[in-house]
Amino acid sequence: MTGSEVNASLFFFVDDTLRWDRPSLGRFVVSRSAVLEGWSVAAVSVADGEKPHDVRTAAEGLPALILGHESSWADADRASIESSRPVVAPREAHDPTRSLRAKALACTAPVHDLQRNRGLRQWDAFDLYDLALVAIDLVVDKMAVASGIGTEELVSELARRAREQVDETARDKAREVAVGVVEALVRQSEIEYTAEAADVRRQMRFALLTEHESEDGSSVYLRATNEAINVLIGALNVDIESAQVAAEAQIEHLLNRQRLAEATVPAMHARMRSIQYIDEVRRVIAETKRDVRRWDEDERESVRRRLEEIREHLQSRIDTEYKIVGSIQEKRDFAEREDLRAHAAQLVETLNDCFNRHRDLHRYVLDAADTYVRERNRQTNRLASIDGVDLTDDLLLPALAASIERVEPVLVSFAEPLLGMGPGSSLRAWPWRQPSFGDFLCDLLRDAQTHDELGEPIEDPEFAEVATDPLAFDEATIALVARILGEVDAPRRISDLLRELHESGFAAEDLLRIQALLATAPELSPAAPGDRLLVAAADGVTFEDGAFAGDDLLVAAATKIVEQQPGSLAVTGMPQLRRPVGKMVLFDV
Amino acid sequence: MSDMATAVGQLIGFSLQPKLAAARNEEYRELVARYRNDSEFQDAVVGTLSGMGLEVLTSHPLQGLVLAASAHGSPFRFRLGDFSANMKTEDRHRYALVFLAIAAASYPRAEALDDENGPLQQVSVSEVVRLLNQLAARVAEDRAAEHDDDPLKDKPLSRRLYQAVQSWPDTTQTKDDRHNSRLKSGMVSRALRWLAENGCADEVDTHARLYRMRGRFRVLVKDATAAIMDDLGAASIGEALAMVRSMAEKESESAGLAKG
Repeated sequence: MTGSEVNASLFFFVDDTLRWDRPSLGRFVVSRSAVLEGWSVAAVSVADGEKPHDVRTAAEGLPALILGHESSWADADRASIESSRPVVAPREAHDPTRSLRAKALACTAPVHDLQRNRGLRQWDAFDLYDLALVAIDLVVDKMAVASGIGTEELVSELARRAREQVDETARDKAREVAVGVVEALVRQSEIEYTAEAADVRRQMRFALLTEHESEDGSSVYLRATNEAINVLIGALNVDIESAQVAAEAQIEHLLNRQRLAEATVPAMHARMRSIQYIDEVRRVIAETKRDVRRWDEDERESVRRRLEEIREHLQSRIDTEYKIVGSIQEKRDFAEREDLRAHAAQLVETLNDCFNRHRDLHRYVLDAADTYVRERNRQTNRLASIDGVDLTDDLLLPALAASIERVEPVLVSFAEPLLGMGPGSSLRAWPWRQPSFGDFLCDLLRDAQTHDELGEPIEDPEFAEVATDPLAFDEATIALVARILGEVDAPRRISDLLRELHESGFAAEDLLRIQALLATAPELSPAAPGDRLLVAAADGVTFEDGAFAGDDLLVAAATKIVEQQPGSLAVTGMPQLRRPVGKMVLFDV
Repeated sequence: MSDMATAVGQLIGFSLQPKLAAARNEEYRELVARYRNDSEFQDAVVGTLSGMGLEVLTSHPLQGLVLAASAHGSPFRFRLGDFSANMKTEDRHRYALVFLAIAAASYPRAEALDDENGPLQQVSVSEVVRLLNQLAARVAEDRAAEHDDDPLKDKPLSRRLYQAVQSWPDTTQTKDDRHNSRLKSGMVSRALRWLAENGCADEVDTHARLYRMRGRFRVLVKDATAAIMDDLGAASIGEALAMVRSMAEKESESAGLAKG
């Protein structure tokens, strides 16, 4: 089970003891600290009918982690099971994913609390698991490189979904519930865990959703953390790039076998991964901005290579997605089955979503790489040299140990800048809402010169040759028919007009027929006031004339534009389309 | 030249306005662009500001200019006395300490302080109080272990800071005392409210006294750290922190150093 999917149906935590229940040969309760230390948990199976509360009563009122997942035991493990020692695989030497896995498990605790405690807040009617997942979904959907959904928007949307969940009686609580869910997801919690072999207990702050300042500093928007997204797709695998490549390979494989319905699943995974990748890239770039001064040449080189890798990975994703979408569209054009078409359309939409995100990221990376190069040449700046400072260990602790009279001036030096500024003691001179300092360090260190906002040109993927439809009629025919129709003023029968074109051949007659038919729906043609508009209508008279037969349309030119009467064109039963003309045209025929 | 002077004045005027972001105002945006691209204009702006006792912390095409009061002698600079009208001299260290504690609770590790696009940190009054108490207890333990307990002297200011923290009452049960500065929680609460009023924080939950710290606060904390460096006359932040650490030495040692 190490590193692979934890298919946990329930998350609970017990106290620090390790319990193992032999008789069922499969129920395995793992302590929270054990999980957080990243112990590989041996596979367990929960027998049918076993209820979680059995475990809970054995534990101490705190919930316990049960892995309800069937797996096979290695034979060696079976031997040690028989000897009734708890079977836990040896701790891995250095598992870089340990803290991430710990976080992923612990992160869901607030959601479980919500669901468990809903009775206390009279929210029984609502499904809080569902709402929490919906909330994360909404945040993830809107998450872009530097923007996302605002808190109020999220609460409103969530309240709407909450109302849909319940009947009339509970609806007025919907907004309260929505606010509660969002607060629980945003609230930062702390967990302690033991890191690696050093036995150092570390504290970690985490949340499922985080708040960030918008680019112009005026508002706050939400992002979902990696852990939140992992909760959504239920995987703890953290190598995003490999996951993306794998997902796309899966999609192609399934497409080749026309298994479009199945392909939507890896497509959605790919979309989640593309969203996660945004944060991965942001993180790398934030690190480059932060540490670049203290690096030696090797470190700089490795960062440049990493940025280049990211850029190449993004380019490759863009190319692959484009290719897949292209092949789906080819198939779509020929697909006979309604269901295949529907799946294909959904696939295309999902992949386009990935494509757009990757393209935005690609631009962002190019710009960042650019910044990085410039940053190496910048001058040192006062604030930029303040990094790596641990306020607790480096400042607060020593200050507490010093005598008051010695340390007071230092404390005052620190506190006064935090008070902000204003003339005298007037608070209002300072902007109430401060712009964020998102690019603060970067800007300070950047030379004040014209900044090419566009970055390097992006190589467009190669497009296939666009096939142009050949003209159905030749130029002479078109000109001839135009002339005939141009001379129409008072209403004339189409049979009449066709007769005029007898000598000119079938093509000309056909074109006239088509133009006249078009004229029966004049609202389909764009027109400006003052334009001459061709209109035609049937009045019940029919005709037969060699090659053509049918309604003997009355064709005329509409020259008088009168005031619109709503619904007047509804009589013709034609769809209403928007036109540049401000008014609808009533025909005087 | 007077056109440039007017432009300088306009830009400064915009920058001082509450709630104004360059993204929303074309004139402001143009002036900021000129500031960023025209070094002569930039020099004029910086020079004027410096004369007024202000400095530019950042310039950003969408956000505009963000200003702060220069170090000392600036008419714009707030003093601790502005924060608390009836502050007694012997209480100064408490007021100042509270701000450091809030900063440490908001950015406990260096990564959080250095992360400019990172998540906004949340901090509550009770968290800050807890942090102060925990750290004070830790220092007390360490020093007791080294048999380093300084006897309480008559002069309260030669006590160690952690002792002051430990003898400072946390809170009372009455609601009225929420902002009573004789209590730790009261003073922390007042400080957080001040920060919220100055755009450094948003109140997230009034009942829980929970605040969300904005990007501005992060940068001011960096500025504050740099201010320590300047005031101690250190050449680098490392040197400044070393000097602070040396203040924590045993009195006999540090007394020797001080006299030296």
